[in-house]
Amino acid sequence: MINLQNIKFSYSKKKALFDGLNLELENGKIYGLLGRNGAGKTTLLRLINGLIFPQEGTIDVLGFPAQERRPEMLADIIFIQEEPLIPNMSILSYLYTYAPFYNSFDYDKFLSLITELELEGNAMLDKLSFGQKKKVMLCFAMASNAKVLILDEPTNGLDIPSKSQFRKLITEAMLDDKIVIISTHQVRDMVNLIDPILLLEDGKIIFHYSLEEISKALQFEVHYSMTPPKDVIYSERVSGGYISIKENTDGIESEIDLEILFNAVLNNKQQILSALEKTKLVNF
Amino acid sequence: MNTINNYFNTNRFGYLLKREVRLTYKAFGLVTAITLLFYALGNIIAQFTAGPNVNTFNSNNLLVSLTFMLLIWANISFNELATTPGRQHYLSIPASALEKLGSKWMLLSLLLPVCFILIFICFSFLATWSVNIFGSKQIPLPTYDMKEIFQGVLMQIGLQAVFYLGSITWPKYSLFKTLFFVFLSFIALSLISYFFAAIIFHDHLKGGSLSFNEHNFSFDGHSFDNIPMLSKLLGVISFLSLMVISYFKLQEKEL
Repeated sequence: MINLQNIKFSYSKKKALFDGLNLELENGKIYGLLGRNGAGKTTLLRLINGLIFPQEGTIDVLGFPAQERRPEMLADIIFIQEEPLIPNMSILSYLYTYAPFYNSFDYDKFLSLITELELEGNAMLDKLSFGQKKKVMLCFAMASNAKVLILDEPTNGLDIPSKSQFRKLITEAMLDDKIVIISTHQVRDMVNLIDPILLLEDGKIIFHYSLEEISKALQFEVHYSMTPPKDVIYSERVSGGYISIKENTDGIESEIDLEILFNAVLNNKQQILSALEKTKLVNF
Repeated sequence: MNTINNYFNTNRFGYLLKREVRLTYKAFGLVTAITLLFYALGNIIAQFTAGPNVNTFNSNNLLVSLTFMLLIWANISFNELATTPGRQHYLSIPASALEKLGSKWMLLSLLLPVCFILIFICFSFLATWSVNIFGSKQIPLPTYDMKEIFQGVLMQIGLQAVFYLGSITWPKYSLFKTLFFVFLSFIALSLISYFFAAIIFHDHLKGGSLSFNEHNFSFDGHSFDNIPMLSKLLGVISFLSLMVISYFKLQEKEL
């Protein structure tokens, strides 16, 4: 479990990026962390990994204070940054250099994954394309059996088949004792993968709901008409018509469009949240 | 939870050391080869000049080369911390700050100097024999004062501590920043010493300078043996203090 309590963090003295941020992340879930540019998604991930320290508050990761960066904690966290640093060595050298630090590392799994992703063990990491480097890092993360996987824009630079492979890898690696946090702008790549959804805005988590809660509370509809739909919480013009979100009053669950949901929360937060809270109360 | 295991674990230390060796061996090999060729070239050139037969492979040149290498290695020891992805990569390695600092120190202050000295000495005999076989002049075989080398290495290790700290504090342009810092510290220390000396030895202050006609404070600073025990002790204390500060700096390093 990851627990952030009353976090205050700022890069400058003028404005705090986070002021009183609270967040609790449970095992067995793949969290999708969404937010505008500059909302602090990467900063939040770095705080969890103990790479930066909060000015106030506590961060507890798997029972360890994050900022102490204890080896036992670091051995259970893999953080793949958007542009990972790749040492100048072959894939196999990388494996034999870094894998021993992770107690539960599965060498066979790593080798089978890189074969599956059409990579060669002798290939030099610095000669690989950006997408291939990311694939190596993902294979490493999956084989490490770390309990916490933190992925910052994991699908950036991946081609279309690799994006599917990425989703497959994450789904297969997911176990009840793991926490996966994926920060992304590419929400369409994360369909059927991330659940729950977290939305970071103004230094706070303003949205933290599971897909089940969302689909019970909100209905997503496509309108093939040139006039905006009425009696909806939010609508957005798309090619050939509109997509709207309205309160789910008839109990029929629809397919969630994460991009529309994201825009809806940013534009009409109160109504979206009240619909979600209303459903929560009814179900309770 | 084993508390000691969080600070030092021999397995993790070994993995870190292996990692350091994997990342360093090419650069070490290249620098060593260039240094050895440079001195070998000196012996070859000596064959064609009228000067006295002096072997360029000797304790002095070994120590001079080693000094430059040790200081440069210490300076670039934490250059991984110079970029954000590098810092993220290094700080995320599951090992403690003590293990990270210790593995760098073990490699750059002990293993590489020992390797360099052994390679230098072996190569020097080989190169001298070769030059003597094929050349017209007979160059004397190299002689090494191992005690002098050992003492020189010890002093370098002490000096390296300043540069480890500099490398952690300013991973970018660490050499210039560290040297500037050392220079400023030297000036500040001199001024403070002068200030206190002026207070304590007020009677000896004449026209801005201190004069001690009745005392003889001179000592032969060229030999390690002549450095008073207090200076050696101060050196050890400074080294340990700098390493402890480096440890805490690394422990508290952020992106």
